[in-house]
Amino acid sequence: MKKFVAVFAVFLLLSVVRYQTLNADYPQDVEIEEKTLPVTYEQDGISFTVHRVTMDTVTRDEEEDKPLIRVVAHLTIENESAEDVPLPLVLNQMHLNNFSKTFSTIQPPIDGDDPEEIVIPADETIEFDAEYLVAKLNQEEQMVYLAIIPELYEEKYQEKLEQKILYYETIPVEGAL
Amino acid sequence: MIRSDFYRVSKRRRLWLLLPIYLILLVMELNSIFTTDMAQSLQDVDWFVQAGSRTIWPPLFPTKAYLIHQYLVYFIVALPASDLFIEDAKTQFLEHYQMHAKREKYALSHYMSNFIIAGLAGVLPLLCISWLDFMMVPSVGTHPINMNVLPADRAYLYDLFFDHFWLYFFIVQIRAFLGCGLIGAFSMAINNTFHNSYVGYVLPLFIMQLSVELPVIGDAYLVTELPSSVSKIGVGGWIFVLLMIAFILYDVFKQMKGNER
Repeated sequence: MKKFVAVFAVFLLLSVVRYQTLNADYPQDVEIEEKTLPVTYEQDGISFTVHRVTMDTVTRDEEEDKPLIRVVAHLTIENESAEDVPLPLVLNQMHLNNFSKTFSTIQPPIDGDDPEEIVIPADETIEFDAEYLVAKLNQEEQMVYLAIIPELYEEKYQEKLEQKILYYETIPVEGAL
Repeated sequence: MIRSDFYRVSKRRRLWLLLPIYLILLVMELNSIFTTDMAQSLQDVDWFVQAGSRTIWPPLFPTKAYLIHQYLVYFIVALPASDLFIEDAKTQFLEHYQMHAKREKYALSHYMSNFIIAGLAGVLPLLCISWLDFMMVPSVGTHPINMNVLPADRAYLYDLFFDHFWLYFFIVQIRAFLGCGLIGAFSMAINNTFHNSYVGYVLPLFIMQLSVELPVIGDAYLVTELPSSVSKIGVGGWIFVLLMIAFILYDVFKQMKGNER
């Protein structure tokens, strides 16, 4: 019995050491800034201001036969840098999400233009409604997260380590299907 | 008396059958970690998700090993000791016990031993699977935002998971232990009812799966996840659990009185 306890203790110790070593380079806390809207975030001369977030149940996903919720974030994006910045590059740094992780991309064209091709000129400000369709969960309230990813989209590994959640809120879903 | 039950069960050759089952589960978990979903999650599936060993911990992110365990657990918990009463009736053990203890103590001892052994047999592979995950997959901080399979309305002790993970882990293992012990006791009661050593291996699984199909008890399907899940048990599930406990208690009293065939 004593031998068994001794072996188990050594095993446990080695496991703890292995766990600590494995996780030494990974953040154990998610940085979260809880703020009330409007909220502003600035990086590299580009600032986002989120004025409000609305959410309602709008339609059904015909393929998967699930209710969908339209989430709209009303934004002002100000480009104070000396260069023109493509809108997709900016929006890739901001992500609206809900608990189910089934978000979609920006939906409507702006003034008839494809959002993928819009460029924010240097020293200009645009107002923009970022619209997303997310899956409706079977609950009366649903969380909406607005996250700012400090690094650019391409640097995936860095993003995982340095993601910052700028704002999150639980919003009642009205008119649930 | 419980100690003598433990000694008796520890000498059973059938316990070796658990070893290949455990090994298969662990190999499948390793396979998941290195080749399939888990490894993929950690690399780059979703640039937003901070995947880590806590976010893909099997109760939240069931791997193949975990799903197989959900079915095999009925056999695993019944194998070691669910036929103690039957064996006693077929051999001279009963007379031996009655020389040393009252019938009530004898019946309670068998049920308690079986409960503890079944709980341990069922939880051990879950602990090993979790250990593999925590040793192989890096851990990152958790927040509702990087959880993708734990809806707040279905999760058990939702807040504790984020605030005190290791306490939550411990409570989940205790819950699994109780669930496995309950199923082990249920197997023993079934064995006693049918006076057979083997029916308790399969009938509980059959009954649990049947409960999924019964609209009368609605969400009773959650009972099938009782040994290893972190889901809340619904009203229908609790009714099912209470029925199981009632059946077990009925058999306990029957054994106390010594109503044997």
